[in-house]
Amino acid sequence: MAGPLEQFEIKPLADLSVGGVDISFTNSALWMVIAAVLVTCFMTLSMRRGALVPGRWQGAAEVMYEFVANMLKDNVGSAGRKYFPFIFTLFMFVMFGNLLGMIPHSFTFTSHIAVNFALALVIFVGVTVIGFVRHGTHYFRMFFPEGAPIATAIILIPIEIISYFSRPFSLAIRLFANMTVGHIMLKVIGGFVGLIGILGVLPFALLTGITVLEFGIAALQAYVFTILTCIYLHDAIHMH
Amino acid sequence: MGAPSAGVLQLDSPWGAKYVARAFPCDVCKAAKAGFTAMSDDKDRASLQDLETKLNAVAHKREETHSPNRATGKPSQGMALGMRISAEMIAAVLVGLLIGWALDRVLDTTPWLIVLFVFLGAGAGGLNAYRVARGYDSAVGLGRAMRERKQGDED
Repeated sequence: MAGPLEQFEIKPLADLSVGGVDISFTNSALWMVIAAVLVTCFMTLSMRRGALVPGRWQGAAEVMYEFVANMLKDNVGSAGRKYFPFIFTLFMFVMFGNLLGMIPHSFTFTSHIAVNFALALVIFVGVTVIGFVRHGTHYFRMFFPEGAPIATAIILIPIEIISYFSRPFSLAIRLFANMTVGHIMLKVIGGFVGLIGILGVLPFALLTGITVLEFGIAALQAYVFTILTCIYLHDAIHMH
Repeated sequence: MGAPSAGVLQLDSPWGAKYVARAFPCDVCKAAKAGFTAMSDDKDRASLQDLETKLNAVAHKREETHSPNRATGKPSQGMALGMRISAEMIAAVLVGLLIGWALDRVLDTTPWLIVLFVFLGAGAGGLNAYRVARGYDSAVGLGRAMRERKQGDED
């Protein structure tokens, strides 16, 4: 029986090295490619006919599309329209990553903080650039809460700056923690099933429930990741 | 797979210049949708366009009355909320630690700034957790969130 943490192990599938930097194609990269290909296939193939009355696949694709579009509209407003392709790609990639991880013997790339932090960093840098482009130096106003007495600036400004810089960390840590905890829990409880004989029915029942919960968490965390991106985008665009 | 053929009403698809987010009621979308020629049956087309204008009017109205409001969202389920708050607190302390460590190295003041910034980070973490719990979500800009809240109460 493999240990509960072995499922997160990164294994190089093809060794590659450019200029001394190890860029091997790993199982993590493989599943990212699978996720990207599946999302692309799902969207293009189901929208191929583009019928007025959608079939099953087209219906599913439209639900995804409208879900993200409405989320963006409700949280950012009309100004967020041009960022839709990015937000939609982000949502689909994270959600497929989470859901693909639920397939036995697959690899959950969102359970690695390096992957999540890279995504979060792109969002953070992008949002900050958008903020400065739209508001110029006025964007620094973000770091001092409106209406606070000026004497508190010496404490509040460092706190707000830390608070601002903690965004990519909290985005990355949240997704990582949720995915990792869920998969460890499944593995540990799964380990009990065979160990305690006939009583193994109990952990098996629990496991069934937790599996359903994990599917929910996979979708929910993709939603949370995306909606927080929308909220950050809203802050950068509308500010005060 | 080629460009969508004319004669079929299309939802927007990632081919070419007509790609716009459909859920946004706006002139661009209307213009783009006008570009998609409707069904062959003229009667169907007329009733569809009628419906389209009605829907657009409703969407516009909604857009005007409901400016983006985020504070009204229901708090998520316990587990997810707990995870969010803990991630928020850990992240802020981590960032404080990092900034303090970097400044200490640059200014050669070890260990004073790291001590100071861990406390500031803990403060920021508490603030972020408070904002998540109150449903303000955004980690920065409490002033605006408070004002939105006040406006929400007056409504």
